[in-house]
Amino acid sequence: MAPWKPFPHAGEYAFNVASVRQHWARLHAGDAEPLPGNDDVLMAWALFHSGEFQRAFETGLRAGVEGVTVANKAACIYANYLESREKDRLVLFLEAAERARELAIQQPANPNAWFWQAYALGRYSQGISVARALAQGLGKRVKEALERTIELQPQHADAHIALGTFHAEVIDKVGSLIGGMTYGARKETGLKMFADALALNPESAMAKLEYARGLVMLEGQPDHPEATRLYQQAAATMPMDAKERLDRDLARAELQD
Amino acid sequence: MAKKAPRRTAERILEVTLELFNRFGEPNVSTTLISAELNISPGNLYYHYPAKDELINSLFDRYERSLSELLNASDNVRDVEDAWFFMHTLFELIWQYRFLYRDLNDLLSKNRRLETHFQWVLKNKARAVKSLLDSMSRAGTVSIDSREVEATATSMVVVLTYWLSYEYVRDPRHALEPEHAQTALMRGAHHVLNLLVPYLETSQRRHLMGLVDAYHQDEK
Repeated sequence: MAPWKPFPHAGEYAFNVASVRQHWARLHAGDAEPLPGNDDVLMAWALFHSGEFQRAFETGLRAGVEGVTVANKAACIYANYLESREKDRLVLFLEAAERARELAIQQPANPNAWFWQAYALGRYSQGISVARALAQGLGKRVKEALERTIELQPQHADAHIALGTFHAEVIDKVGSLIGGMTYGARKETGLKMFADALALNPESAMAKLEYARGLVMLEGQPDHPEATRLYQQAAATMPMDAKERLDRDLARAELQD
Repeated sequence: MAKKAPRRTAERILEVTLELFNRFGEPNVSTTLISAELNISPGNLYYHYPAKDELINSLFDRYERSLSELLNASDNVRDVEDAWFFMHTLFELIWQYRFLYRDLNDLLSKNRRLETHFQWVLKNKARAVKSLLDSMSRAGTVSIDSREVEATATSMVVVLTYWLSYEYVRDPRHALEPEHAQTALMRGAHHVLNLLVPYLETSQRRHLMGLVDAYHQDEK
């Protein structure tokens, strides 16, 4: 695979081991990842928050089992926001899903082992088209992994967002009847998941963006006023790291002419 | 901050994608090209359309909706002049979504929605052409044995559906460029209606020739 494309605002969010440790609670309000004891892993996280996704990925992998989650997050975030080649993007998601699956076997009580498996498979499913992914049985895996994440860590805001997106996507693609009967997808559950995510992590631009997209899908109204309000709020957030900056840029692009 | 409706990006993405698909053919347009053309980040594109299939499906849905509306007007066709206008409008719509027809077999083989819905498109076209023939028969402008309706309607649908492929093969480098639209569409409408000639009432037949001549002069 070609070298990863650089984060477009390189250098604007420079973190090191000490500053990542200092701001850990705020930086991980979304994924509830516990502060690592290992400095190599912390270094990988510092690279991740700085937007050096490829180095974060490689440093995480070198750090062994404890670094798998940061490697997965770096790969998934890079693939989702910056990788323009569809094929490479899908490969990154599949590889991350596989690493996360293996991690969940070794550490079944690790919420983020389940979460990154779900996130990677979920984005992969969107990338090959949700209808096709459901036909391949990926829907069940994504849903179960997200529910397991929340069971293990009820404060996991990002898992609530992803589960909200799951319900919205399934209903949008196969309809509420089949979606409900076959995949247990419900509009009310989807909307509640988004609302819970925002309650858990009120500053999250990503929660607002996915909520807005989910609302449009579930309510079938492209100019839903609540969606507009969410985009405006997301556009007004103060990003603390590279990933949050990518979310805010996305929200701003949405409100541009 | 001024209140602006969201989803403008989604709309812009669809418009630009349609243009790129039409110009270069869907298989030759990557998501990289689409986001570069729009000058948006890949993340922004995926946020709205996580898969290329979603783009194809959204464009196809629009085509299907417009086509449905238009085909429903077929029973208002009374004479050759109406029929000419009807076919021309139909070709204009097909032209607007010509990427679908340009790589039809390829799209059908990889997109389930198109695979199932395009059969409906053909059926709907055939139904509309039959109601056009009915309506013209009632108005006395066409005289056709009911046993010949099915085959004539089918032939018209085939020409309607594959006319642009024919134009494309004749001149692959230019046929589907916008400056050739008018002549290509006119020829298409002419050839579809030409299948009606044996059944047209005499004055209608002359009128059709008159229309064709008028357009030929336009061309020159």
